[in-house]
Amino acid sequence: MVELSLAAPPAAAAICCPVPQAAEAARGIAAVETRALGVTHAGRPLLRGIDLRVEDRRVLALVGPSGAGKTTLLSCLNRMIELAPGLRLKGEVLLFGESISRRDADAVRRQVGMLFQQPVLFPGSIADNALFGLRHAGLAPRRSLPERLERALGEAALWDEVKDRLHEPAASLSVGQQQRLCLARALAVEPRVLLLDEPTSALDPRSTEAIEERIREIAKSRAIVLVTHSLGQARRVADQLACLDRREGPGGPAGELFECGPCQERLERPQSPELARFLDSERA
Amino acid sequence: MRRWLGLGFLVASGLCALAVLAVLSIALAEIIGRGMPALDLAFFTRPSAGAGYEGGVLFEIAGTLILIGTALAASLPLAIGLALAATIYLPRPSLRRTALSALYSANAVPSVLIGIGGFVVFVHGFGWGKSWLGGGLLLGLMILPAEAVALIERIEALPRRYLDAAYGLGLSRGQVARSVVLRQSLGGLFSGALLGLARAAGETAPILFAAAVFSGAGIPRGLKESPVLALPYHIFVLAQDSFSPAGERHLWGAALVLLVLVASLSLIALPARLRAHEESRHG
Repeated sequence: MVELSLAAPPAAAAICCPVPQAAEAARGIAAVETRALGVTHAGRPLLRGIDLRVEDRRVLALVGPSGAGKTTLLSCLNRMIELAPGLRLKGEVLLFGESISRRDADAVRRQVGMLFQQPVLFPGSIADNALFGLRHAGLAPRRSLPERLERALGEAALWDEVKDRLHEPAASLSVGQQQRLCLARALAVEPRVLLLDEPTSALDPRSTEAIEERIREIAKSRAIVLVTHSLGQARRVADQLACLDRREGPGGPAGELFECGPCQERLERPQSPELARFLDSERA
Repeated sequence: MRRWLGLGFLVASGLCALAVLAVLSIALAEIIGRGMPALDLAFFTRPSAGAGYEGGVLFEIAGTLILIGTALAASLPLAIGLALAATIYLPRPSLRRTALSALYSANAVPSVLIGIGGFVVFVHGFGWGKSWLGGGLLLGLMILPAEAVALIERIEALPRRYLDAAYGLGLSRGQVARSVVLRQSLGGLFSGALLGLARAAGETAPILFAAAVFSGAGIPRGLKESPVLALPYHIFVLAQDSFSPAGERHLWGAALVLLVLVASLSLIALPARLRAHEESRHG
């Protein structure tokens, strides 16, 4: 069972993007903000002292090695972590200034959409899949569904490719199209924030380019957190960069944020050896 | 050495399978061989007569179908509720394991105990006397654990990514249960229900106390004191009493009809079970 508490951050916690209160007020309310966020499993820390700020209408790229806890951090932001038994959560996550622990979990997930590594299609047609959330959560009147379908598929740049075969099985699409269909499904419920968990890792370069173009477009109206292994992708689409890696600390090694700031600037002048190593390995 | 051990294991397994198949084949051949001469159109369209030695088994078939239909109607909603509670609404694995253990234990309760329980509760407690409703409810209770376990196993074989994708869209547990879990587990529910019914169709003990009589009943017209005839009870009584060739012929005919009924239910369930098995293997 997940418990959210308002415990103060530990003194030794790694603070990423620390913002003085006056400066914070000047910047306005963040789309997503975490305060001293930590996750433990059976007493073993997985994430520690995460302070992260994601601005509205911006893309934050979250990079780091496998096993650092990037997906775990994502799942804290929309309370998906509560579906995994045995994980305990400390600290606070704010969505547009309001603590998500005080809100209904389903409502939080509708506002914070998620796209997974592999496309996940439900049995049924292209239209069934795109409208899945709207239909089954009862979010839109039936007569508005055709319009919402066109809008969502349009936002995912899929409408022109599928408008003549909306009732064909979704599984007949290519993997790249399937991932854009999943993006359309997430966008159809009109989230204010979108979490993308390595959305192009299973795609070819052309499909990757299509998704990246969509990310830049969608970010004009929403905040996006993009988990990626590719610093090149972060460079192409992200405004902000945050690096996560496992570091020794109280209770054992756990994922900590160690570099956070404007993406281009951090990639040109990394301030931590971890990011410098990451950049070197990518160049190699 | 390892090769010889492997070969020995293969031969032993093959012999065991052959032994089981041989016993089953002999029993089936015996029932079919002895039952076939009794089967003609009249056997299915006429009620039994003459202490069960003559006529057909029309009302025995009708009674059996009424009982298993009632059992299905009573047990299916409960099985769905139990399976959803165990898989979707009980987040703690320990609670889930406890629920599953309880269902496996319930599945092992001897049917004669269920029959006695039904006699105490329905026949005497509720004052229903012998009634098709009491018998159907008892059979439903008997097959409920098997149905729930089949559905739970099917739900647990569902790839986790479907649930995550649905929760990620903001669907509540109930909405996920309806739109993803039940929709994709219908095969498991269907096959569990049919296998349970196949078992219920052949059970004698629960209906012996609460629902079935040997003669004098047709299609029930009420709830209380409305017994039915049933194939398993008919076979049970004839097997105990029959010494005449006519009775024996009638007995084997009824046994063959019951065998075909049970085998049909199992065979209808087979494609759904195979599909569920394949899907769980390939995710």
